[in-house]
Amino acid sequence: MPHASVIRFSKSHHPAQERWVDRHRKPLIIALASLLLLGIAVGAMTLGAYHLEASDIIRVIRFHCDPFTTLPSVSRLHDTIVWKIRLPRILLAVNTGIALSLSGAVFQGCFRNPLVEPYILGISSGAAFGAALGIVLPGFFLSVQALAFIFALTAVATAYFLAHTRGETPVIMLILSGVIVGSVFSAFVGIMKFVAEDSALREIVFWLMGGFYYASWGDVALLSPIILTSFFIIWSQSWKLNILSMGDDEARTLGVNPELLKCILIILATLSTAVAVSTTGIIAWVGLMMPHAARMMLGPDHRYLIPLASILGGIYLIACDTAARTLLHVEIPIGIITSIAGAPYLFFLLRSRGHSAFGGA
Amino acid sequence: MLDIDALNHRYAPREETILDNVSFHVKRGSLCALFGPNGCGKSTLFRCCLKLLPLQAGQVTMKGRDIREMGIREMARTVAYVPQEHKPPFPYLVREVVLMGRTPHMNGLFGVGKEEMRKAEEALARLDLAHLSHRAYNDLSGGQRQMVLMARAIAQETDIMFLDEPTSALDFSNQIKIWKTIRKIADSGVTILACTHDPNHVSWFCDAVVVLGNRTVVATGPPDRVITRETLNLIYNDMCDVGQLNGSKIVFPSHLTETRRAV
Repeated sequence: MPHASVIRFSKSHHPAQERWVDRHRKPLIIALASLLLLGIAVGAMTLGAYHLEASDIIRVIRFHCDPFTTLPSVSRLHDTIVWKIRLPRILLAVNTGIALSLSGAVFQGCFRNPLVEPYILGISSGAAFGAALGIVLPGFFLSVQALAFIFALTAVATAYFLAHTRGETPVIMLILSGVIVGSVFSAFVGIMKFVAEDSALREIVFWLMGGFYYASWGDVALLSPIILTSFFIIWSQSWKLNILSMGDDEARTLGVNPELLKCILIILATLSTAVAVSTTGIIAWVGLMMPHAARMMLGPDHRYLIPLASILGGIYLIACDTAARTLLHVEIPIGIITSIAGAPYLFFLLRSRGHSAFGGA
Repeated sequence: MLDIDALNHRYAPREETILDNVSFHVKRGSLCALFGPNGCGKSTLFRCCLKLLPLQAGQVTMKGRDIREMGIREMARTVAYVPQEHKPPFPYLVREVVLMGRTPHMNGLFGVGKEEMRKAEEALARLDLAHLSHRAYNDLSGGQRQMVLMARAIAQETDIMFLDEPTSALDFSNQIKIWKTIRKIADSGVTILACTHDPNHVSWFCDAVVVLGNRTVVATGPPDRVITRETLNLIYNDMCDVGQLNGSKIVFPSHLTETRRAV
């Protein structure tokens, strides 16, 4: 028996002799997670005030995607529930999950800090102020969504330029100026709450807790091109993000321009987060948690971490949103659910895997 | 191979000069030490040569090319930088850290091909580190991490290598092991500039030495001519003696016996 164990030991050091499953473990896990996302999406669409079977849902989707199916095969009621209400809502949740997790992974890598979340540069406070402004001044020519988007970008741009000195953007400066800009916009939100009428105040509070209540195909058409394009560009740069996370000096001596890459990645991550946040309100925890979960499953290599974190983000938000609309008779804002479900998870992570998940420092 | 000519540097126009008219030359395939006390400008000189700081005055030439004319990628294919061992924020595997050295040679969108993986494994094998390949870099000992960073520089396949105090955080046996490895790399034809604090390492392992003291070059040449009592006492204010032990030169603090007796 000891002989056999010696052989196995020496085998494990020769990658060429690894089993096929071991060599392709990471892509396989990503493929499995995508299948799970698909399954959960269909499953979530069956749940709700009106119960549907998975076959009903597939029939409706086929009816819309396949020109050779005819109308009588699906009922109008099913069509309305699935196509007009539940499908756009699920797609919005998936897109938001991708945007937040993707940006979380990007910001954690760029800032070389596993505790950073996509809101670190003040994006959430900026969006909150924009939304509050739109709610308090309904006559303004821009919508709540557009105002939230504009101020989210304004906040990040301000933080970035405050931190930019002598052609460099040091991480510490960036995080500190993000904190400063965030607190200024939070104060502005406070002013808005102070001057708002009762009904407007209620609306602001709900917006701040996030939700997919008003999901429409228009939102999906706006979000998905921006988010999916950002995803693929960021994914294509994911190896360089590994290099960037070693620090600016090392990145430069390894042939990567840290300033340029950081700038591109932060712009894309900000754009996707801003467009998602301005549509759905502020959803906490997802952008911090999902990159961690992915890192624990596949390790820190961003080539695998970025797709897995994005898929997990989609799954998590579908699950939370389904809970939000089915647990009680009224809808619970999703931000409450993601926080309540997320906090114990992160606590568990910290106690059980703190050493490896947080860099072993 | 590496020419540094009349380099001057100061961090801000009104602050004091850090480097004042520094010039020296490193021969192809030689292991040259950059030696000097704390705060003498070694790091600044390194950063200027690697284009981590803008070149203010003077010229740096690598393989006959002015570094001002070289882009980031071309620089990374010409000179590799080995930092002091460190812990990055994420626990990358050793093979991933070494693979990072292949980045300036990667093409295409996703970059990492089979060829690059093979070169990374080869670099690990050359330093007898193949058994660490699947370990997390952060979990290794300091000496092992320094070895992995050198393997990364080998994988980068550059003609010039810069080492930043490669042994300063290591124990005695690891220091010697690392220096022997550096010697091996230099003997394979790579031109190396390594900064160090230990005069003994310089005289035991290096082909040449540049002594930097008080912002400028104090002496250059082969260690047996340069590492002398006079040079050391010039930069360290009269506190060194140089002796011989089994044919090797050894530097030790003066008045060692008197200090001991006083205790």
